[in-house]
Amino acid sequence: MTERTDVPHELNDLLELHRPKPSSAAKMSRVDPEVLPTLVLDSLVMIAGQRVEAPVHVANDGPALVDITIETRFGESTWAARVGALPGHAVSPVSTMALDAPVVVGSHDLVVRLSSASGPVSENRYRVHVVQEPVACGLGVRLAPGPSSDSEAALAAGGAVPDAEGLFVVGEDGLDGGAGAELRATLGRGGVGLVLAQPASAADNYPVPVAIEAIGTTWGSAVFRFTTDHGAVPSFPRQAVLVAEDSTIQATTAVSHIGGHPFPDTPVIIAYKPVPDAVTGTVVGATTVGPGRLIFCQYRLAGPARTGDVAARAVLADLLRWATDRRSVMAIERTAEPDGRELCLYSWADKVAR
Amino acid sequence: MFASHRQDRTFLPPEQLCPLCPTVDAGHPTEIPRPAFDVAVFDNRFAALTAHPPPPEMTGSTLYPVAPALGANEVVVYSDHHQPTAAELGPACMEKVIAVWADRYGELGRRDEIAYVFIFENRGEAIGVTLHHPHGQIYAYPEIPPLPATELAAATAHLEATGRCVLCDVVARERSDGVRLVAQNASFVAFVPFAARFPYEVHVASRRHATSVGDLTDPERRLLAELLVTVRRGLDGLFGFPLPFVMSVHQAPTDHAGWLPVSHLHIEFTPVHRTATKLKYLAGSELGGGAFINDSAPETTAGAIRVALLACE
Repeated sequence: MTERTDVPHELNDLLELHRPKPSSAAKMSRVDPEVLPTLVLDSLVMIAGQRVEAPVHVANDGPALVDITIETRFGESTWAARVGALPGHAVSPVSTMALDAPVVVGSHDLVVRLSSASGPVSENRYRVHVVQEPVACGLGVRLAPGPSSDSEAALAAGGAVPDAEGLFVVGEDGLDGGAGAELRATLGRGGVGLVLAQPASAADNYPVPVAIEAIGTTWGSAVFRFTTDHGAVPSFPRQAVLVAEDSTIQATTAVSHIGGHPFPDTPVIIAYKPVPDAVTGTVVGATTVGPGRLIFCQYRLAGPARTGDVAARAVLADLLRWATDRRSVMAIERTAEPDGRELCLYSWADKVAR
Repeated sequence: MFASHRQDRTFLPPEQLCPLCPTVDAGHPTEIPRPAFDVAVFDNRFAALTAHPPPPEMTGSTLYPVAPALGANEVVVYSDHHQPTAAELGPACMEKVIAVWADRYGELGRRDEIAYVFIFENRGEAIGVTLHHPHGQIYAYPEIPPLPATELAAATAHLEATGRCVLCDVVARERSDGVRLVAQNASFVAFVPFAARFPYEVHVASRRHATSVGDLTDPERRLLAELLVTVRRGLDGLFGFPLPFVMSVHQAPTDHAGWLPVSHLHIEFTPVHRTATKLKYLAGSELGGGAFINDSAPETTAGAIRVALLACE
């Protein structure tokens, strides 16, 4: 099950195998059907209510099909077209579908269904995350001086305004010695610092020991990225494997050690690069530094956000909100009572950047 | 399930002997040996299902199969106040309870022997509540219990016939019809179901195809908490007293991911009153034939709950 392709060591089903209840047989039948309708989508993150148009193709590994209909559905919006005949053993472009993204934010299935006169033939589902149209946040930010023109433009596009007393942000590739000193001072005063994506060479400028490692793979195979149960970045679904290869935002590196630990105290997105030279690291997370909190994001957001990419703008807005708004954070104390029964005590504290 | 040891469980104790209150006197310990807490979860002392059950007392056969009572029974205590005010049991408290549900759903659902995490609350003596301290329960079953199984079978048939989730269709229909709506917000909708079994039955469903409480974002948890509190307020406003009900969370089984396309998170409130002074008893048709007869049209009772909500404002 780990070798579905001819690429050595490509662990396509690693997560499936390591979960306690694998459904590998069902997954195999879903990913390897004889006929598969597909969509050409620019992004799997969309704005609530936005018009979505995408070319529809059908990969048919079987004999020719006749009297074919394609339907797509996205929330309450539907689209259908009669295709007629489809050649066998070929990939055929059939139409361009158009429908509206749901108005309810969160994860939705965009479903493509292929039917013949005798009933459904095949179905494909795209898990799409629908976000609100990012609004100008009006948040005051203090951007560390440095080569961060993209970051500055991205923050401005999100409605952030320069403010000497605002949230301290280190732009992408901007963590030089001076920015590092300023970050250290901000955290030392009990503040919050948001550090956008940095190269491995910037590791020495963090206020705590940090190792940043590349997560590109030798053969172009999949890097697994998945979210934890932490909900501070609601543009990402909880506890989900993220589709990375087609994503409009990418992280080429991850933080593999921070403050002497393999993970920060609040990991939000974890990346696992398979063998050879396997790396597990954090792409988005936060950690305590003295009395302050350091939030970091190794996704490259600035360029896409500056040019209006929905996913990048939504994640950037989430990070700014996380860094500044108080949120209720749950803690769990587990104890075993004398009779062996477990007691879990849940408590909450309103905190910034947890 | 058979659990004869549950006959001895605590029955309507006075407040000073409530086992769900914090322990204030070490000489009289409660289930929660702390002076205060936000939300507490513990294994039920009188559990019907446990992680290490004894072997069945009887030998099974093909005709009468038996199995150990494998699973978990947990108690979720919503507050350390024995009689919290409405404000103390408001959306902020409910949001915490939902976060705990999500944590327990993940924790219990990961266990190989658990197929379904069933979260519910019994409220009121008419329902059979034995402790008045605000709390709910979680039964983690080794198989999918009959009602969710029936729902899932119907949803599977609908998906195969139409390609759509039945509850997604129901939510769209209820929002379109409007006559059975009780309340709604950006992420959830509350309505009296078209085929309600009880006069004031209310279902709260996610507007998107969320599959479980573990699938909700932080903003969705907040919106669900608000709507659950709204529904409770509406039910309590109907007759001027806290309406006894069962509140049950229906969500994706945890035995495999194949259920996700047919699992649509919804919470069912089933109050047993049909008037202020009369209960809806399950009699011949319901218990004998499994066919519910409802004395009131859902459109009428939904309107009554809406009026009760307006009167609360």
